[in-house]
This record gives sequence, structure tokens and C-alpha cells, in this order.
Amino acid sequence: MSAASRRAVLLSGLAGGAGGAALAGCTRPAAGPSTTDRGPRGATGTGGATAYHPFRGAHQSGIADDPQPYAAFVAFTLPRATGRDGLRRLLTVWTDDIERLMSGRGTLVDQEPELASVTAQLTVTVGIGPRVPGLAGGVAPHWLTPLPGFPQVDRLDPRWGQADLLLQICAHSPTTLAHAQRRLITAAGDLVRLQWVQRGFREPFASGPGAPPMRNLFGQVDGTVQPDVHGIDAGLLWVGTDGPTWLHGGTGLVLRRIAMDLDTWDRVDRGSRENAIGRRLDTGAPVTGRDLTEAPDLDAVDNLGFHRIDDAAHLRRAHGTAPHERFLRRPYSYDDPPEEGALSNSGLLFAAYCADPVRQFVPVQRRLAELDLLNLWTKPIGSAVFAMLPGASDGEILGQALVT
Amino acid sequence: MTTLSFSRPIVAALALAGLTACGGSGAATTSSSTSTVSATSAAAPSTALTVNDPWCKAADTGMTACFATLVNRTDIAIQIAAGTSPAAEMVELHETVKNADGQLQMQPADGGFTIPAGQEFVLEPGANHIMLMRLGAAVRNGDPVAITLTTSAGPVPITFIARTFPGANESYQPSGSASPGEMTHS
Repeated sequence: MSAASRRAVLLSGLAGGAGGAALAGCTRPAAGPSTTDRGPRGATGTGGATAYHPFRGAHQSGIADDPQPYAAFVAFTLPRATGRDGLRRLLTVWTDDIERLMSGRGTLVDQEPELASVTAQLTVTVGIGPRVPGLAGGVAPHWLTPLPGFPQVDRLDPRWGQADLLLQICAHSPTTLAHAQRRLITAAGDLVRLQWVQRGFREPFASGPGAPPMRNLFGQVDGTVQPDVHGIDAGLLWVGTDGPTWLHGGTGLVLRRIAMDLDTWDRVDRGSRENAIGRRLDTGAPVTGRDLTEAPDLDAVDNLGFHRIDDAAHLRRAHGTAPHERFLRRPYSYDDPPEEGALSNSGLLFAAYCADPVRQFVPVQRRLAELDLLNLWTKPIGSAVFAMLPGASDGEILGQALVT
Repeated sequence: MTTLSFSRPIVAALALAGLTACGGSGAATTSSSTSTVSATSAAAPSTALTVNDPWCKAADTGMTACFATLVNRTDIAIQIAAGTSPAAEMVELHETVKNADGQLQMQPADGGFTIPAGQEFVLEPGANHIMLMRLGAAVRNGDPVAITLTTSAGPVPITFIARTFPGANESYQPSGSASPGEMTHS
């Protein structure tokens, strides 16, 4: 259980729902909560229908907190003529709606506010694409650009490509999520055009504080090694003073849609599967160890002199060669209706958050593109990069420093 | 009390009393939250009437409708007689009634709106609302819209927020007209 999660449980005595929302809005110091105050409030126990995340603070919710089981990544294009004024109006509308939805209230124009009353730890996290800082007259961080190509593996479909805006909507209830998504799409009106929606899920019965990392649809424990973003690794996640002022307290998101071929994976025995990733399927421990959290022994050899963790194993290839080659992962599985003639249409919404994706993520992805046994069964079909905005303080709209 | 506005009156009441409701001296910097604050804190023309969740339907031309929850915080009735706005040549207070065909139709409310002592008065799509006629410019999604209500408790300036909204399309029965007009809110 993380420190933030423990605090969340301690706070669970506060009233949930409407009363809790009022508390969240009005009892905090004006400066907003520190990074360590994140985590759900309200009833976090079984069900947790009225548990909610605070909207206001130094960072947006939905990044450093425990992933909820359901997610939708919703991307938009801005009309050609959009400038700072249009962005300000859009972010004014979305800020108000998101704040209301996260606290269990309908939006200003909501004709079905009852659907918002189950907060289910809803988070809506707003990001912007490479074109947007310039449209607002601001400067983009150098990394806010589509990733370099990885031609060995990339089979990118423009359908899942770069966009101007992203709403990452996560919740413990798919109904709550659907309502928030609908309200926010319609709220934007003609200020945006919907580009794509990518829906994902994690195991709902293994989500929340102290839950083990997720299993992807290959059955592998995923997201085992994470930076300590609530502690010493906070600088790996949040953009600091070396980034644009408008992005202080924000972060970078790399969202890659990775198709996973369940049909060819079915032909692979469990030993080969473990060899491909370098971890045990049952516990998620490195094949050289027994515990999930145990550090892998990359030098260990078998009695024939071969590395016990295969030279092409995913674990070895993904292992950072420098301390900064780390990022927060918050992946979701997807399992969409198969195309005609196919039996599956499944994969992973790989979501990695870090202060500088070019410096932290690209070297790792380059190694994986060059050599990774998992590439036999996986195929990146979508890729986009977003700057996830800093949190909004009291009285501010999201992106305030960029658009006003 | 509508679900839409719960918890807001508490904030508004604190603001009225001059307390710092949400610790935010910057609370008046966004147009979405200004609505309540400006209506209640603007030089105290009326601490008698508070306004929650004010918004207008965005419209390119013509006319549009505005909505809010008005709360009479006094022990005498407050009369809303009229309104003015830099956004429109004319402001009317409308009610929605069934016409002879059984269809909902809006028309000017004779005598304006009366908010009984200590009561709420809800302006919402399909019911009572404020009408902006002959808009000077497009009322765009996310724009602030200033309207000052003329009331028995004094003028009440309110900043509404324009929002894209597909509803509020009742046909309009102009004052003194025998047949429904062709104009709608959209």
C-alpha cells in the first residue's frame, strides 16, 4: 500500500458524495494539496460508489494515483482557425464540467445528473498535443512531438495517431465513465472534432490500494517496476522549472496502442512465454527470483552458460541502462470486437508518464524495437504524445498559464 | 432545490457574509465560477438574491435563453421585473406554457418573476427562463454573458457562461401575437 493510499483510507471517514464534495472544495488551504495528498476521498471500501478524487491541486488526478479499472482515452482535433481564445473557452467549459463530475454533480447543462452521482473515483485528466502550445502563443517542450519511428516494429495506423487534445477518463464504474465521456464530448461543441476513442480495462477485482500490478491479456503481470513518483522519483514524472512555465506540475504522456496476437500466443508453451518476458507467469517474479518485487539477476547463467534471463527477454531489453530511463506506467488492456474473419482484436493501451519522454522513454523503446522476444506477438498500431496539463488551483482553469 | 445546484448555496452564503468560502482570493478569475461570485459580491447591490449555476445556451444569431437558480435570502418576496444585457437589444423574462395544441410554448411572463421569501426560483430549459433577443453578436460556447436583472431588491448583475446545448428549442409566442413565431432558441 502506498503512502498516498494509506492517507486515503484515513480520510475515508469524511462524508462521501455531495457532502464530501463540499469539503473537498472548501476545507483545503488555498495553496491546494501537496503532491502527497493525492488519492481518493470518501468511502473507499467495498463498492466505493461515492469515493472521489480531488480535482484541484498542483497536479491533475489520474496520473500518480492508483489506476481505476475502466478507462477511455478520448482524442480531439482542433479546427484550423483555433487560437488562444478558442482554447480558453474550451478549457473554461471542461474545467467546470470536470470539477463537477469528479465531485458527483451533473454538469451545468446536464439533463441526467443522476448518472454523475456515483463518483466511483472518476478522474478526468486533460492533455494537449504538439500543435496546441503554438496556437496559444506559448512554447512547446522539445519532447512534445510524435515519437521517432521504430520501423522494426511499428505498424502505425493513422486512425490511432497524434491528436490535439486528450481526455483521459478513468473510473471504477463504466456507467460513470460513459456519462462523463458523453457530457465532455458534447460540452466542447464545435470547438473540437472527435478524433478517436480508445477504451481499456484492468481487473476490477484487483484494483486499488495495495493491489498487485495488472495482468495483460497474455496473462503476464505488467507494470511491475515503477518509479517512486510520490517520493524520490517525483522529478522523473513532473515537469519542473526546466520546462515551460505553463507546464510546471504537468507531465508527458506517451500513449501507444499495442496489438497483441492472442492467436499465435496460444501456440506458445508456458516455459517459452516466461522466457520471452523474463518473468514467471504465476507470480510475476523475475525468472531468477521468487518475489514480484525482487530485482532481476541479469548476470545469472544456467549450467550451459546461457543467461537465465534471455538476452532477448522483454525484461532485459526494457531494463533501464541509466537511472533516468524510467517512467510511470498505467496501462490498460483492450478487447474490442474482432474484425471480420478474425478471432480477436486485443492488446494493450500502453500509457507511460514522464517529464521528458524523449530522454526517458525513447531509449527504452529503441532497445525494445531492436530486440525483444515479445515483438513476435505484439505490434504497435497507434502512437501519440501529449503534455498533461498541471493541476488547476482554486479559481483557475486548466491550462490557465497557457491560454490566459 | 435542484440536484444541479447542491452545495453551491453554501458557498454563496459564505461569500455573502464576507467570509472566504474556498480560500480563494482568485476565485473570481474564471468565468465559470464568477457567475456565483459576481452575482453575490458585486458591491452588494443585492445580498438579498443569490444566483447559482447561471448559463446561457450558445447561439450564433437571433435569440437565446439563459438559466440559473435564484435564491431569495430575505423574508419578503422579491420581484424580478426586467433585465438588460450588452449582448442583446432586448431581455425578456419568459415562462413556458402549453398552447391550444398541447405543445409547450414560451411567452413573456406577465409581471415578471416573483420569488417568495426564502425560496428558490429555478430557471431551466422547458420552463421559466431569461430570453436574450436580437443578439448583437454570436454567443459562443465558453464565453461570459453579462446580464443585469432589475429587481425589487435592486439591480443584480450576473455573469452567465455560454454553453453548447441541444435542448431549449420551444417555439416562441411573441407578446401580443396570435400565432407562434418562427424563431426558436437555436
